[in-house]
Amino acid sequence: MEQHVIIQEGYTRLKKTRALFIVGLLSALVVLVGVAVTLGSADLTVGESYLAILAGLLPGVFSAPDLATTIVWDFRLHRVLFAVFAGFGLAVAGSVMQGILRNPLASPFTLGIASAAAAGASIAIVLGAGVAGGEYLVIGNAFLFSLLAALAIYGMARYRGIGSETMVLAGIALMYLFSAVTSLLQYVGSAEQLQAVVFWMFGSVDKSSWPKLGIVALILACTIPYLIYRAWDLNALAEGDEVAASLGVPVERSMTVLMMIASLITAVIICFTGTIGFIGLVAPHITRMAIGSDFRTLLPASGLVGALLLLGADSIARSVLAPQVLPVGIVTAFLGVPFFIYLFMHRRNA
Amino acid sequence: MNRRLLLVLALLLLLAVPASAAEGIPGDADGDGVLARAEYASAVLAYLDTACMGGTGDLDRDDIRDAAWVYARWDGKPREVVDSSGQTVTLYRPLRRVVTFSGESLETLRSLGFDMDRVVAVDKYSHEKSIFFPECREKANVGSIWSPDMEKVLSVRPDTVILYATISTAACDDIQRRLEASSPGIRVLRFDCFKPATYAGEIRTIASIIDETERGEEFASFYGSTMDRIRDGTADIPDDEKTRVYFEYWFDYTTVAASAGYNEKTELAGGKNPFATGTTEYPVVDPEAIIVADPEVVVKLAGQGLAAGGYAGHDPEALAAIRSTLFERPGWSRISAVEDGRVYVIHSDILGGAQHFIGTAYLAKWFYPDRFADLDPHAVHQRYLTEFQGIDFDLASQGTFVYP
Amino acid sequence: MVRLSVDDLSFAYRDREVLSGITFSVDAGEVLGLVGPNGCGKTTLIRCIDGMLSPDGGRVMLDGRELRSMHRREIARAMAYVPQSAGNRTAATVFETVLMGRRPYLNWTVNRADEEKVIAALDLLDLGDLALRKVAELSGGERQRVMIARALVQETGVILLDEPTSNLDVCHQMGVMEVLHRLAGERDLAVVIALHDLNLAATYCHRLMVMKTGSIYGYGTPGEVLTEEMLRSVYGIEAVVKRDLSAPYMVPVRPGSLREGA
Repeated sequence: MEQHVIIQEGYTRLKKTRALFIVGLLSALVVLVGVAVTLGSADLTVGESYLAILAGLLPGVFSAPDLATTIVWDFRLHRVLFAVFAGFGLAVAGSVMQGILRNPLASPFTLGIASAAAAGASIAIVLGAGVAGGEYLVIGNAFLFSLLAALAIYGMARYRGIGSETMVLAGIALMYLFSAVTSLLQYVGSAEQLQAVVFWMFGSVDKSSWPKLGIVALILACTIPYLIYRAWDLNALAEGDEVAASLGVPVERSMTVLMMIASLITAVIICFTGTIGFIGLVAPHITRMAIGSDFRTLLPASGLVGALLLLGADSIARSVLAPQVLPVGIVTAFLGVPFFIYLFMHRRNA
Repeated sequence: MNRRLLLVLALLLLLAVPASAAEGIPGDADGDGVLARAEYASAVLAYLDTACMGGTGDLDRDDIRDAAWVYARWDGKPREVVDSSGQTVTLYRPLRRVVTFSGESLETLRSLGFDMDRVVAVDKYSHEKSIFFPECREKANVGSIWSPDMEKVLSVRPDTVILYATISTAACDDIQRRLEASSPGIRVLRFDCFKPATYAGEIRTIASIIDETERGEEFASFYGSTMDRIRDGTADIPDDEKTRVYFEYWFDYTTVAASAGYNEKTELAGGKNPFATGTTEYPVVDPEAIIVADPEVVVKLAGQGLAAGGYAGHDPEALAAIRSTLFERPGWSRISAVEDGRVYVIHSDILGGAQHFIGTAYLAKWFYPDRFADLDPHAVHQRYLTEFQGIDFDLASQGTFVYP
Repeated sequence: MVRLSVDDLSFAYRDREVLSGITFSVDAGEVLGLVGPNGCGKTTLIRCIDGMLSPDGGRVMLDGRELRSMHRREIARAMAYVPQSAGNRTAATVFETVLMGRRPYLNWTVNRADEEKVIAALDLLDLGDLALRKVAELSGGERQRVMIARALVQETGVILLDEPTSNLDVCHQMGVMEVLHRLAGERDLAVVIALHDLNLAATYCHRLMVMKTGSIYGYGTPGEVLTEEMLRSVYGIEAVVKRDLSAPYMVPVRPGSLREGA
């Protein structure tokens, strides 16, 4: 009986640690948002930035200088929040992919989604062809092509049997196809179009706006709760297809639905930001190392880690070469380096 | 997560965008778009009351100066201009605080005698050109078209921002959209200021905006006369008698094709580019094809990708070195251009951008030395620098732009 | 009482017949060993029984009900599966891995009752000390016990195992088989194990089913099934079967030495 108590207490302690971790992440995120809002090349003091936020929320009670309010509300605030939501979404999509594909090195881009989005963007930029007009030309194309890639994976995997191997192989095939298309378009395009394509592929939060933030927030609000609801199935899938099936999980259907959702989240984010790498790969990994792989806590926690990483990276991107703003995708790419070196040093033979 | 979502939705609903610079002519009390004499008089009196006799009023000194300008120069009416992208912009006040995102428009403003103190911020490339734009060192740096520092733009409180009209349109449209969304009072003007087809018209339009019509005419005819001279001098040459030219871009064996500006200038100068039909802007050609085409003149572009000369340095040796490497290319000794020694190096500073008329003049002179014996691009260049740009730059001892 | 019965099962994979005419049943408390050489169809049979593959002909009945008519969740509450090796969740603890077995009963939160069942299963399989260690850190035998604990926690009447002892050393092999034998009796479970090791099978299984190229060659008690005749016919080897202990066992002999010795 003693041992029973020890085990019980041990598990309870584990759960508490996880809860604390999430609370800690949330607090860190709030602090980081508070810091990020004060960064920028306009000469606003910290006090002015916060006053401007308050003035925007409660215009009767607080007032702030016009310039500060414009800068904070029209440029900084939505950008900071966008980085938070984008980081959250990419990290969650990454952890879902890693769970379904049973590969800790999978990312939201493993199934060729990034390449497809880049191809769509290139088509819009170089050929001017797309589904929407004006500002949403590139965005619409990138989104459409990402979804096309996801559907193609589903189609191909269905033909050969849905399983992690078939999906990864199909993803690689798509990646090569779309990369080739993008390269061709880069070659054919003018110097300026080439620059535009390359810039898009860097990935940045520059072009965020309140409506775009609203779209992303809406999609996340619809999908994240569902994913957390399906956390047990993700846990089961990680044990192996056959074990998951015997535990009552509809394996093929689950893999398809979950993969589609992860692709949707990825698509809706990168169509606005361009391809930001490494968040979807690194965030779940770090989180798993800290609190284990129960998806009930892994999903929200890795989301928060992703939000922290992307917002942190964006804050660095805005400060390191001020007044120039580095595309955040470049900073996150550098993030990948110490991460992989760490993995390399601490490799265990699986 | 839910709580954060609610906060976001709340924020979205409470968008507070403050109004910025007041629209309308200052002093136009009845808001009918015309500053009548009576309105102007009472505005002046109200200002004097405020300034000298302790009264209260909302017109400040800048407002009164602008009102005076509008009344005197614009006949009390707002000025409407059509910029190079076709949009109509209404000006209620003269330009007082300008941000330029392109060096070409900045240079044009200077040619037209615009008070450079009224330019409050420039793009980062102009900011770096300490020799050509010495006054820009102290101005704010707003980044580049592709990477604009929007916060900086707003914090210098401009009333006008100038962007390109026909290139980098996606980026420029984006900047324009963001400016108009957050500060509706800022006027966005789109001008290229580097295309032979549109520059003359743009000079006059900009001159009318800044009320320098006389100077504008002067500059426009200076520019126009050079370009017309070139056009007229080459108009009657039949196609098969045109000088065959191989124009090489900064990178080896990369030439220019129909969609590139350099090709346009080559053809303006009466040259015939055998590779003009390439599908991309800067096609890489097979070295053999050059020998087969047997150009009569070879022009090599120096500049950004092949840094040597320009305004930054007096470096004829560097350009000479570039020229000699061309001579040494395998098989090139057979080319007519090499046999006749008609191989030239030219710097993009005078062939691209607002100074393209100088570069094109050099091209014309090299292609048809007899027809253009009386054309002196060097003198044109010096006059441009001294008289219109107003900078102290002596071509004899500073900068290298062509060789030989 | 019969927990699992298979009736005239057949399965073909792209024109090639892999299983045909498979008929057998397993009672509560019985351990059935599936033996046969590589490629005889053991794994395919297991996958047909647990619903991963759809048989072309025949039926599988669980507690009297046809498998085809049962909802996935119901199947999960009636039949558990233990794989050959652990999955990929290297960061999972033993406790959580065993907890997965409760999935057919969980909504989202885990309550005290579930946790206690997990602890009881860990106890039964002597894993109490390892409860909060990571599965990846355990030995092969310990990992197998973890997976068996998971199957137990699933509270099913039938457990299928696919070669659970193939990667284990002798002491762990015997340990696992001992546990399974004991649990089958204590909890009235029907256990079907695909095995490579004939002696292990003969020692611990109540009945054996020998398969050869997709059909049943022999079906009965180890004493009935494990004969030299069978070894020659199914495996193509020469061996001696000894019967001087409670269970028969086979002794491999080098070709030719039989004639010399005896």
